[in-house]
Amino acid sequence: MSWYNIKLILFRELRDQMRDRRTLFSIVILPVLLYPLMGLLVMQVMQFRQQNPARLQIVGAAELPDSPPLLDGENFSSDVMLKDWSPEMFEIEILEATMDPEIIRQTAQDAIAAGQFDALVYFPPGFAERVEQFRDHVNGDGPATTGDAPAEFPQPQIFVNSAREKSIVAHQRFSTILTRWRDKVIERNLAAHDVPPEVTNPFTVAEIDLSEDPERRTFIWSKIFPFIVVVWALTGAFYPAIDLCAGEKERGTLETLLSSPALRSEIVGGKLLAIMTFSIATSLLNLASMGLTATLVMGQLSAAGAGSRLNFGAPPLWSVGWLLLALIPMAALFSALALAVAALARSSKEGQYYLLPLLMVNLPLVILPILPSVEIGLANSLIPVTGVLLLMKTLMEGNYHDALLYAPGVVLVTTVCIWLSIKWAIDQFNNESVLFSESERFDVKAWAIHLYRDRLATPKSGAAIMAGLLILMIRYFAGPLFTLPTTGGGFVAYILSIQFLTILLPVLLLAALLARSWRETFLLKLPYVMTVPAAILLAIAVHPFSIMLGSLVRNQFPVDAQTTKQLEDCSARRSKACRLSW
Amino acid sequence: MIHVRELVKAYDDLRRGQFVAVDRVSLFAMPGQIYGLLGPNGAGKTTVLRILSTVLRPTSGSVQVNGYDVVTEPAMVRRQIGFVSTNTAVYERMTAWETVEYFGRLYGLEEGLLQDRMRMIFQRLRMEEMRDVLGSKMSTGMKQKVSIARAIVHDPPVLVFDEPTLGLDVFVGRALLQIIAELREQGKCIIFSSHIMREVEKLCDQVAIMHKGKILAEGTQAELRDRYSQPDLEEIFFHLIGEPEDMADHAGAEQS
Repeated sequence: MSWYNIKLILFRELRDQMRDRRTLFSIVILPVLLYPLMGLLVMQVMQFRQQNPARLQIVGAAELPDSPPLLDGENFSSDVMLKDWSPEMFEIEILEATMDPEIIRQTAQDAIAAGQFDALVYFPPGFAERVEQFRDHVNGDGPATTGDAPAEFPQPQIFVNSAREKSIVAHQRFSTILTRWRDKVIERNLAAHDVPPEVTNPFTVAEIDLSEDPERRTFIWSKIFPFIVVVWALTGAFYPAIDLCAGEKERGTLETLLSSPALRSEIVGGKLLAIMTFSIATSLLNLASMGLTATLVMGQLSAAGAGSRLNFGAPPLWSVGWLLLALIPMAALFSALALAVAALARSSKEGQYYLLPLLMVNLPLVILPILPSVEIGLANSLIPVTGVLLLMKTLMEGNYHDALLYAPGVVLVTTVCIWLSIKWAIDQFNNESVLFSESERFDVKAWAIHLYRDRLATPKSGAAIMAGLLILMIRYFAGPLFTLPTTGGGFVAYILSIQFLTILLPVLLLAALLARSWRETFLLKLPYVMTVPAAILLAIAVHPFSIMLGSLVRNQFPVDAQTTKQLEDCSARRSKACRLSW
Repeated sequence: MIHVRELVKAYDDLRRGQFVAVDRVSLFAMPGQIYGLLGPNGAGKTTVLRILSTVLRPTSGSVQVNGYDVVTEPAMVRRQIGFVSTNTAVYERMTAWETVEYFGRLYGLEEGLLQDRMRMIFQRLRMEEMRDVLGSKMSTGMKQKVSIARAIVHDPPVLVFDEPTLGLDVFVGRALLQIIAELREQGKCIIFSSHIMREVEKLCDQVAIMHKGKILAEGTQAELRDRYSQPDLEEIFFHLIGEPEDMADHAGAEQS
């Protein structure tokens, strides 16, 4: 294999892609524009929520008590407004007279539907009088009895339309005003009774966050990074891969390259490195754009006083370092997978269809590391993609001891996956039926006939994998049909029948369909002398080993008692349903 | 030189099962000679040429190109040939100069030699004006010139042309045939495939008529005329594979 040729192919592919407007758009322009646009949108929403005046109609203002005042002329009293609120945030129409409770609902509905107001606030007849009575009662002067329940108190009402953004905003603002005004009423009532206001709030809990600012940002970014890695590294790899494989097939340039002295492995190497470059570049550009936008938006929000509790600034530098370290193997893995999958496609259009399944397969592997309480461990570290993301998270959190402990497993699994993916891609480039297959209408009948008519002496490896998956599926669905017996004889019959029906029978059927020679397929020949004791040993040892393995898996991925019970219930219901249907 | 013996290429076809595209084909082409493969579409010409260029592997039989075997020494075979086919297009996002330079480098030419060869080829094929034109902006004739330049940049002893005049106007087609004739004068061993009788008649020293994956007749044009007592290649061709009406019936039967 010549590195010179790989380099030549790499630079040609890079130049080729850089001249493609579609690639540039999805890799450079989209991430650079997307996040600032999203940031702008967030800012617009925030601005709308802060600046757009809430139009309120207050019906029955005459029913408001004089003290403490809710209104000051045409505006709310400054005592009930928040510090940074201005009177311009409200447009209030005040109706002194109250209305009949029967018609107020319809009036509010019509006014909001016509766009005259965003919300309508209604003070019922006798509201002020009742507030005064309550104060006097607390003071011990009034005639009110202790038997008066709050429900009998004439309650003010606010009419809103929760399907309208402006109405929701008006509701939120007025609720704040009302809460503050009610607090003032309580304070006044307590003062009238010579009770200090603090009596309603005997203690407060001081919240002390021990985390440092970079630590908090790391925590947030460690949740976001897996998505950046997978979504952008995969899509960043996929579109160039389609263009460099299926696209070249379509344009006829792949055969030109295949007839050149470059080896297939050199072609795969050059294309793979080019795809990797775009994959990494896409992720980094997205990250940079996202970080920059987050910093700017947070700056704006902080300035507006809204972002004090949020901490979503740019990621700390060391986090980016660990991300880069994780990004390289992930990009290599996704690039090789994308290249092999794209080689399968006969056209760019067909290639597009393969992206979603590839994303769907990877999605559970990405979601796992961001689940709460999922941390790196022996079993997790051996799961492809998940292991790398967990290792990255652990490194970001500064837990170097655990990271070092499980890093060898992660490196090993990831290396094997990358190697297998690259080998698969090279195999695709050596496969004539993949490279020169022509589009033709798929016909299930013709395909089934082809499977039987052109079967080989033994099934291919793909058929063997399918057989394994079929057995698993049959066992899952047929499981509830068999009930575990209590007698020894019943247990033997149970094992034999379940193994015959769910393992042997499907395999025999597949062999009848896909293999010409049963003798070669099932190795039906006299065994070597040593094979017999080995087979007996295996028959005895495999079952305990499978139980041990099951126990190990349960130990590594413990299921809590509640989930176990739910699963058992579900399984019992399924068994019952199956038996009934039979 | 090219030596093909008992070449067979079979495919797995969804509808037809095992389909033999090339059936025990043998041919021998010498340096300084144009060997013509004449046959209708689907005769198996392109498959034979793809095997010669090592893009496909033979099912059985042996193929040697300038002494190298296509199965055991494919990389060396590719260095010996220049392959121009309707399936070997030019890169749309590269200029004529960049394309030829790229392949010259893949063939391992030294930088100085490569630049000299490219200047000479661009001059000879009258390509100077299109030097910086992108593939996407080129006409069919311009693309075919780039393909030829790309195929001869490493000065290979063997050249394979698969339907090179397909889609070209008469002027460009004529110029192309002149270039191929010039290459023969330089001692190149050339395989020329076409379904256009006049081109084969005008250009080829040795002709093989292919149909349904088999060579039905082979020889010089004079030998074929004598053997089948026909006045020209067209009459020999239809004498061997049937009249156009029969072919239409045959095509209809194959499609159904």
